[in-house]
Amino acid sequence: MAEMIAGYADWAAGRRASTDVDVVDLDAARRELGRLDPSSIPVDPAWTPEQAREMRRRVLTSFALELAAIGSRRHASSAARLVEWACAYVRSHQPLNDFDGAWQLAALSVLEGGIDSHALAEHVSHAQAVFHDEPRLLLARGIVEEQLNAPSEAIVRTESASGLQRAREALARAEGESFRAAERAIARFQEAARDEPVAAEASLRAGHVQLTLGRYDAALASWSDVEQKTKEPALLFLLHLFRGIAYEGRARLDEARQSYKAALAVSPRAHSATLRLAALAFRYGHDDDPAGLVDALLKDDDPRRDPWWSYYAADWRLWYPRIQRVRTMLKTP
Amino acid sequence: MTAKAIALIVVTTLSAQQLFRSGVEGVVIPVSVRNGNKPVAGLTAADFELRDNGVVQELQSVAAEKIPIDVTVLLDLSSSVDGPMLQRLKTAVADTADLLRADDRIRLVAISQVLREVFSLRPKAGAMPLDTLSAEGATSLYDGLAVTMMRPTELGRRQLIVAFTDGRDSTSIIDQSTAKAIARLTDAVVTVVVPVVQGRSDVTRRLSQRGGGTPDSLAGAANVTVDGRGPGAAADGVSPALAEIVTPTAGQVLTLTGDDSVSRAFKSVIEDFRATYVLQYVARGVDTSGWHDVEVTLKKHGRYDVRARKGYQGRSKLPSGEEP
Repeated sequence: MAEMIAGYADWAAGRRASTDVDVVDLDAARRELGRLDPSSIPVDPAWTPEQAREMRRRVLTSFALELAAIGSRRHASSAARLVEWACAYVRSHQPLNDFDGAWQLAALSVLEGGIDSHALAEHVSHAQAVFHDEPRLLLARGIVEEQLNAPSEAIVRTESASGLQRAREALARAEGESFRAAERAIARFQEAARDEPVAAEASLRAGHVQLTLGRYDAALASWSDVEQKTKEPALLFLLHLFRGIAYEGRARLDEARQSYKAALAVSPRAHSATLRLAALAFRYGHDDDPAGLVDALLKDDDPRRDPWWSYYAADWRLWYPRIQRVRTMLKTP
Repeated sequence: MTAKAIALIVVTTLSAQQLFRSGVEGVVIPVSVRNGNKPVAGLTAADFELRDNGVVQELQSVAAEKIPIDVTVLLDLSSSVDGPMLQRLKTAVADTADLLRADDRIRLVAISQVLREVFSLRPKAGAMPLDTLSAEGATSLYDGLAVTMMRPTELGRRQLIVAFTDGRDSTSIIDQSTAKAIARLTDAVVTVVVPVVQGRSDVTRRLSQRGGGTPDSLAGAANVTVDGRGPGAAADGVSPALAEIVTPTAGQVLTLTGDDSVSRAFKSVIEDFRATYVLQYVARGVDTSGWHDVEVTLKKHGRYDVRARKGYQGRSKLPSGEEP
């Protein structure tokens, strides 16, 4: 681990061209990082002791974040524990500086990408206490609730764990927790929509939750001004896609068709909009050729083209620019 | 061939080659009849009663044994089948191809969060590119079923979709209700093979959106799937939604336990499909437009399991908002 983190520090500082970061067990990595002597992390000898200490803190916490990002898809809980371990290190630094803010946003990407509502909730609660004015954290409060209902595959390989999972889910359903979480998500997204930097995404998400509840008119109303508030292609694509589904729900099929086509104009050949358009044509006999659409879709398996595939992962789409910003702060104090 | 209003031949003696020619408006309904685990052979039109929107129809039945078939194998290649199961699936595809006749064809579609046609319809001859298959990511199960069900069956052929999945969906844009609506209209017979969860180690993984990925359904909270079980999941962990999708096509859900052979399950599906009857008739005494409910029963006494397509869409297009 010491060797890997030293390589990372040299790479981030521009002292080497590349580095390998690989991890098998995120919990073991966290324990090793906890035992690591920070003074073993290489720094520029010209830096003052205070600068060296700060840069080692940055390297250590950034490295933890990079590891967590690598493993968060399959091991969201372990990744979240690693992020929280590093987060305590970041939050303890006073006064807060630009690195701390950049690191928190990158951490938010990892945690939202893990789609683990409970882990995200924990992080947002303590991060917001420190970064009161960060609009992405305001939005994240709604995402916490939305992710509670995000479909996923929890593959549980013991009978007891499987039974416990099922019992928890059954209890949540019996108590109406899923429904209440959806209502909370709407309220929090509507609150976030008053904050200009995240207004478009908050409205989009509020409408999507309405859509999942079958409230098509409310969903359409939520999206009435999204196009005026954002030019982000991913959000515009999702807006058109969701509108199409809501129009289908209201039996406004021509408008649904136009919405799917508008989505495809933003992201040509995206699977989700193509498939919805094909299904619409197949069911209701529109002019589009469903067989031709699905034939083209099956020959095109580039997964980067469809924003739907990362909708629930929210800020994960911002991971690369955010971690890039963090990395630039590892070059000089 | 389709269960929608179609053009087909209606003559006294029907052969595989004659089956789907001529210009007479007619309907084709595939029917499987089993007695226990065995298909029942030798039945004729006189053995069946078919009601179209409640009206008994005059039937011409054809044993579909000689009609060439197109088999679409739909494999769930998400992370959940990584390891030994992946090898079993590759073997099953190769074994299934071996079962085909010279004029039959097979294609392979892989599902993870992305759908991919590994190879298009082809005769059994020749090597199949199975070595390139890998298992990774989440599962767009309903998307995969929808895509394959929307592909038309060529005239003079029959289409079977055999899907293998662990039954979990995490990334589809097609929700359950849309998948069911498509199933009511598809030409194909759809059968899904589902392995039942087995306890093995103590690893817990969570797969969902990202770099691909999405929800079980846009119908939302009620469709959250955990451990393969959404609301109302059956005791064996197989989602009831799967049965609701395949039943209207005259297909079925088969469960595999433990080390049951996937190849044997696929073989059983192919043999069952070959043994199905094709009931043909020209609808009389009913309005030809709109949705038609079809009910097939066997006049013979005995304990028979009769599986038939549940209906078809008539000639006119659906008005906006009308289900199927």
